[in-house]
Amino acid sequence: MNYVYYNEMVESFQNHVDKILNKTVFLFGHCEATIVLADFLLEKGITPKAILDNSEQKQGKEYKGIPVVPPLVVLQEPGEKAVVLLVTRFYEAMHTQLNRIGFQGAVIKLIDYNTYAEYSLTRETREWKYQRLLYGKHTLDTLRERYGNRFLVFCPFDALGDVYFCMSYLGEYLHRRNIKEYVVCVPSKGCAAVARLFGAEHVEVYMQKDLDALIQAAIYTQDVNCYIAHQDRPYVVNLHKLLKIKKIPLEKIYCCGIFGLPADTKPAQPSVWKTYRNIKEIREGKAVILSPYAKSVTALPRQIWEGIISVYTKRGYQIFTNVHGDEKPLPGSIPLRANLAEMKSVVERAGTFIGIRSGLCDVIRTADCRKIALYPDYNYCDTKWKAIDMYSLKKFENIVVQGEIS
Amino acid sequence: MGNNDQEIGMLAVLEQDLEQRDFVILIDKKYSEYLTELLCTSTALKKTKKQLSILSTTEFPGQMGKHLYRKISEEEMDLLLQLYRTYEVSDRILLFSVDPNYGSMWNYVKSGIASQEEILQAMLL
Repeated sequence: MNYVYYNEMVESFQNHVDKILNKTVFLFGHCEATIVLADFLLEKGITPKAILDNSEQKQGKEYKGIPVVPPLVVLQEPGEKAVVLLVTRFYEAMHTQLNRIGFQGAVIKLIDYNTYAEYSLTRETREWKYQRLLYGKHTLDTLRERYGNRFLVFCPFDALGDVYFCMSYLGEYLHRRNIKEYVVCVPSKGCAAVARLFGAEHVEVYMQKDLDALIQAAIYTQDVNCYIAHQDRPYVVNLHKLLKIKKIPLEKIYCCGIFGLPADTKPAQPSVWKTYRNIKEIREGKAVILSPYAKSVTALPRQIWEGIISVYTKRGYQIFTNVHGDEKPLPGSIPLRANLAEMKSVVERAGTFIGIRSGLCDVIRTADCRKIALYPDYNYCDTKWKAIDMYSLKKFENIVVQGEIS
Repeated sequence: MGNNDQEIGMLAVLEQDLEQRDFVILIDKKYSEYLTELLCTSTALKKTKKQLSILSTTEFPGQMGKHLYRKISEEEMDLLLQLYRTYEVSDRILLFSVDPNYGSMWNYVKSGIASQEEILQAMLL
């Protein structure tokens, strides 16, 4: 969860605190954001009774003693004494589900993760969504004024790996349509940095909600001079649905589903690299770069990292933790703050990279060194496929880490 | 969107179908004949446990079994498509179309990753 959403969650909690205190608290949807919320509540002395989740694979597990249970369990508590807190983009669908099963208590959205959805047909809703659409059209017009008829590529979600896949196949897609000039629109500086690795000259960074409105305008106008490059966002894109009956690695979804390219299309590789400014501080071939943080993947148990640090300390390696923003280095390691464009030089110099499977692993795919990707044992979205089925990397050692969800 | 009688009527239809059916399927008028035929004669439609409301601008004379089939006018379909493209009204509205500016399940068929029947089956789960 990025700091913008975290701050929104904290502020929203404070606004609703009267409705939450002294109630039995349930969370809905076991995902990384819900884990962050659970930690936040535990710090406040509030222990959620359960995490509701429709996925049978997740039910029966627990997080810090909070069980993951089917949504019907919420009915065991009288409605007036219970509250359900949500921090997922599926708020509208979950709220509807709770209503349908007869839950009478309060349902509170602490983060507006999905500005596209509002499951209502009231005149007020339609009018304010229309105003949002007009705002998006205005943003689109402004973009057109700046870039003329350049083709617009929208990356709707703040995930480095998604933008990496997009850029891997975008070139071939544009080539087939004889498009020479384009602008990539992304929701974060990190995503912009990934696009630039592939040589994108024009990259625009928007606040998530502004980008959502802009994309909505592109959908509404059916603008053929732009493309939304994602597998399941926004709601009009349904490419992920095939995963209910078939396993398709994410890279193949990008190549074939999103861009409509032949399955044997060769992905482009990033080419705009820089050398890390403090490269000589890294012992050549005798250092390990650890990457324990990921935005949309549940964290690995701390003891996994402690074990890795112990092994590499005994081997006499220099140990770095790749950190960004407020992230802390793992105990016994040196913080490393390198730009994405510098990461290839960093891991090649160090000789070894070990990281949770995140977008950073994609960024260093082509680096020439020992690379190990660690996969928490979880299912991809609400499918029966494991993360490793969806994301496994060539030229990496791909390892599933068992252990309690944390 | 305005608030004329036609629009109010279509909103009422949509609200009722969302209340009573598992999915509401809009078939884009641009490909109406082809997509209506494809969906309505599919094994996926016969086998699905979901109850559907299918809205199309094309007549379909065949049997629909437990599903509801509504032929609506092009203007009415335009209203529904405008609404669909303005915001996500429900995750139980499915558009059968080939919009030009985002990836489509039909691309899987083109790439040989899935058959048309598999696509329809996945959409109706």
